[in-house]
Amino acid sequence: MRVFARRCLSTPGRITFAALGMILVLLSFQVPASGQGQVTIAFWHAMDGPKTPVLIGMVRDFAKENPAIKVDVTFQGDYTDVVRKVQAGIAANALPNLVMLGQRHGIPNISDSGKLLVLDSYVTAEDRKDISPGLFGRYTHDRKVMAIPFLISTPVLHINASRFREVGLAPDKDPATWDDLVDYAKKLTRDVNGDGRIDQWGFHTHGDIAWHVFSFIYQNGGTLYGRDGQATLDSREVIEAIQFWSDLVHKHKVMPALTHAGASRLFVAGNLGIFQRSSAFVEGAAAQIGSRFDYRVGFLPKKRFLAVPSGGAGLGVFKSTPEKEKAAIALLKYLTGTRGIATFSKGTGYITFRRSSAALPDMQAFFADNPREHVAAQQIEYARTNPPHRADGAVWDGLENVIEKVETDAKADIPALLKELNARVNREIARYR
Amino acid sequence: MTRKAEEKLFNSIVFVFLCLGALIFLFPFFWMLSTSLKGASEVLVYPPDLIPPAPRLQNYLEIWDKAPFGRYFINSTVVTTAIMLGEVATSILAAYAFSKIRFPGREKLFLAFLGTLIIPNIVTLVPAFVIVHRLKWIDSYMGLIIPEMATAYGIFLLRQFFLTIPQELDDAAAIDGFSRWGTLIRVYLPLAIPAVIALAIISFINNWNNFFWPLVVTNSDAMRTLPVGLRFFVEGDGGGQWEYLMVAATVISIPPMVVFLTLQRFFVRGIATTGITK
Amino acid sequence: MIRIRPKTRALMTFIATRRVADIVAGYGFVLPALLLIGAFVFLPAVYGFLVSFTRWDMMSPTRTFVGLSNYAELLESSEFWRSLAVTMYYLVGTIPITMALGLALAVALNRQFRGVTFFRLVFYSPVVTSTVAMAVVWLWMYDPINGILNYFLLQVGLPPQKWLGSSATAMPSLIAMDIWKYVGYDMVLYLAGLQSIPADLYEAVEVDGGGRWARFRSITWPLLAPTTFFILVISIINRFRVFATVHTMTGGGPAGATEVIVYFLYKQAFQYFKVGYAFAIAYVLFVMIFGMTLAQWRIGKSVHYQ
Repeated sequence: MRVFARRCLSTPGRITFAALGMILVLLSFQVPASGQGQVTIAFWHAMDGPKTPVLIGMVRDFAKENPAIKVDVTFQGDYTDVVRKVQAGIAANALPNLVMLGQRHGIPNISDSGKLLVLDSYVTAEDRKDISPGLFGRYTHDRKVMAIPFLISTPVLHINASRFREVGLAPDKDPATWDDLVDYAKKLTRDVNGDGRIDQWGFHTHGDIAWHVFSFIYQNGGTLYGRDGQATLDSREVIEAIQFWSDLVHKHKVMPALTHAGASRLFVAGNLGIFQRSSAFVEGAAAQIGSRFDYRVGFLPKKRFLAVPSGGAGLGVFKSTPEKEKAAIALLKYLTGTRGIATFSKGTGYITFRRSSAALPDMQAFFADNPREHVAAQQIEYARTNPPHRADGAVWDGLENVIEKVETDAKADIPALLKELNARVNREIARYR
Repeated sequence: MTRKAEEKLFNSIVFVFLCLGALIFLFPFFWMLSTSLKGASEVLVYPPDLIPPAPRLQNYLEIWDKAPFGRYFINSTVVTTAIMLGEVATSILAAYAFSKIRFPGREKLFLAFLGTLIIPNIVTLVPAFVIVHRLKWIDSYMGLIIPEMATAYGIFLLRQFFLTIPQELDDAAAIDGFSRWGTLIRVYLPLAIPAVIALAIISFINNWNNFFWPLVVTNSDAMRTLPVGLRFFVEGDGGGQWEYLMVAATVISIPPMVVFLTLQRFFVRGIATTGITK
Repeated sequence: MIRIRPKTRALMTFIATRRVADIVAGYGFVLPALLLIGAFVFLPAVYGFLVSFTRWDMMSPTRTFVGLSNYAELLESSEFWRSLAVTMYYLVGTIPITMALGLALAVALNRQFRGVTFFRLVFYSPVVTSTVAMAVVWLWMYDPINGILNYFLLQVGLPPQKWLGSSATAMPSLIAMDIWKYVGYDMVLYLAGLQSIPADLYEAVEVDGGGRWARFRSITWPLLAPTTFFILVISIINRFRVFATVHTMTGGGPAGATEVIVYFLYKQAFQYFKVGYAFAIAYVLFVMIFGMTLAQWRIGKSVHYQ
């Protein structure tokens, strides 16, 4: 042992290490194999899991049709990771050409860096007619289009139709209003084996609580910000929405408190009647449920309006050389065009938000065979959102905090909490004007 | 009761407690292993089975398809080993200087080094990234290895150890005609083996499990390390698939365990020799 | 002209060259570490310090210099103080128990008996594992519906807990996991300390008729003071920097109950994009820990020389 150590640090030992080091260096070189006149662009995405091959496949098809363009497509983590990478990339001037940007992950800030290409000139009038303005607005900043929607989802109601039947509800009827929701959920919440523990719950939502709260806020006619860019989180509509949420937990007792992360498993196991989660969950749910019960997908209920928040990501282009920008735009158009969105949504379960895509004959056939996927495609017409705002992070975080407090404490003073949050958010907005 | 019998009784009671403690301590590992061998439906069964009814070894094969864990594993191994060797080398050199050579600014410099241990690494993340980018080391082994190859912790540990070696040894070596370098290699190093091994173990474990830096400095799956891969897996559709998560957790935990178990003889002795506890 | 005797001159020359040789050797040996740590830790830290005086999101091309206003803001921010309180809760919850258990284990395992190595390995093994991996394992164990811990509770007739899902139990849950993970670390350090206590000191107490407790109180505990001190310093520094477990297991919730200071910092930097503010927090944290460590060092020094 001692001899070994001494050998390592002797001169021949150190030469060996130097050699190993050089081999490592060589290994680290990944010489890009760019052919003559080929343009190489980098595409950063945040898709993980079994749906990724759809995206990769589309990129590959694009490359086949465009032999002059080579695409380096890499996974960068979740949307927050992508932002971190973008931050570092801006500082180091090491940005990709095409990037997947989460709809609530810093689009204003990234736009203000000046590194994102403004896409207005690449968006045609048809495009604007083809995409619901509530959705498109989510990717505009300062009235300029900074990204094109691509990977879109909305919350939907995942419904255990078998359970509905068991408690005497019509299995194909969605709860149309908030009152319906309470009514159905009450029937669905029960203690099946008489041990005093509730075994089946009526209603629950997935994590990403703020997103689901947004749906109630929008349904009640509220918004997060006013026209002046100030937060309106203490408005009557928002208070009512939060109060409704609290009532679900404490008054009607149809939603268990604070176990949102486990709600999916509860639903899949058959112990949850109505489950609000992203439309992107449909395929996974179907696979996990199998034939355990009758699973269908329903629309969100309405209060004043039928309104849904949109989730997901869009694709943006970073400025660089004219050739690379052109190549990136070409890929962008391929992925987000009528055909592209159809292919993508059919393969992944994300929403066919382009009206022209949804009208394609093969999509119509797909919807006929897959009514569950059709719900979200129809619901996206009712997308209602504020444009991205610098304070989105603060609002999201703050609302999640408020909800967590509300769910744990039946006596939480909701107006006071929201007033405090609103003041805090407005302070932030003022500071960072 | 005689003194000896009382002693024996006490020891037996302690032994029982130790056994209970060991059981509690090992339980999370046991549960991790047990879940990793279950099928998707068995995982959610209630009441849960402590032992999987039909252990599925194929989970361990399937995981390699879920994410490029093979590549992650290789990267982790290469990177961690290289960092460990580098850290040991730089620490030995610097520790010797800090303990045995008088040069101006020595104490202040050492204090500055110690200060770097306290800075949360979030702060240094982006600026360090910029520097690594300028050096063109992003998404490469160089970027993963070089910035981590020296830490104040290793220097601190070995310095404490070297301080326990009496100055007379230095003087004797000088009289024998050894240069500083020679003294270090031929006199100090052989004595320092336990401490060096302890440092190597600590370095291996810390860098094997390092998450933040590999996350930031790599862009492609080809270069990522295991902890980053695991985190991505948890966040992606792997989230909720507890059986696969447990497989990943097990796989990540095995190499540091192996390294530790093989070298643990030196470990306590190594720590003790540093006199860090004096 | 000053007359220097030849001997003195020889001596002076000797000292001079020795000195120069020392300086060269000293800096030479330190150079690799200096370059690496300097470039990749120190420089970024200085850069971060400068950024803490700006209002910047690290992306926009304009940087607004705001002087000390970030620092002022954090001193007025109730979230900052809350996250500090949460962090203190974490420290006070983990450190004493981990140290006490580590000491107890070290004393129990400082003998030679069959299986002592086994026990030492068992208790140290959690330290060796990846924090993220173990966070996932404990997340699974803490699951309120399918987790094994609630199952055990029900078996013995206790009510199931919400663990990470309730503000009251979230932090204790994290604390429990931390203790499990790091008891072994303290144990090993205490073992090393115990092994440096000469055996004859114990015999002296036994001869005087002292029992186990007397042995511990008069010999073991005082002589372990340097070890205890070292562990305390390292524990405080490490626990202040906790992040991965919170990030993986609770995301700072519920309702901020586990939002430790580094997590708060992380959110400010990457969710709120207030990078200057986040770095200000980091430097306040740095000063706090450094100050605490320095204070402990001073106290420790006086303890040593008793």
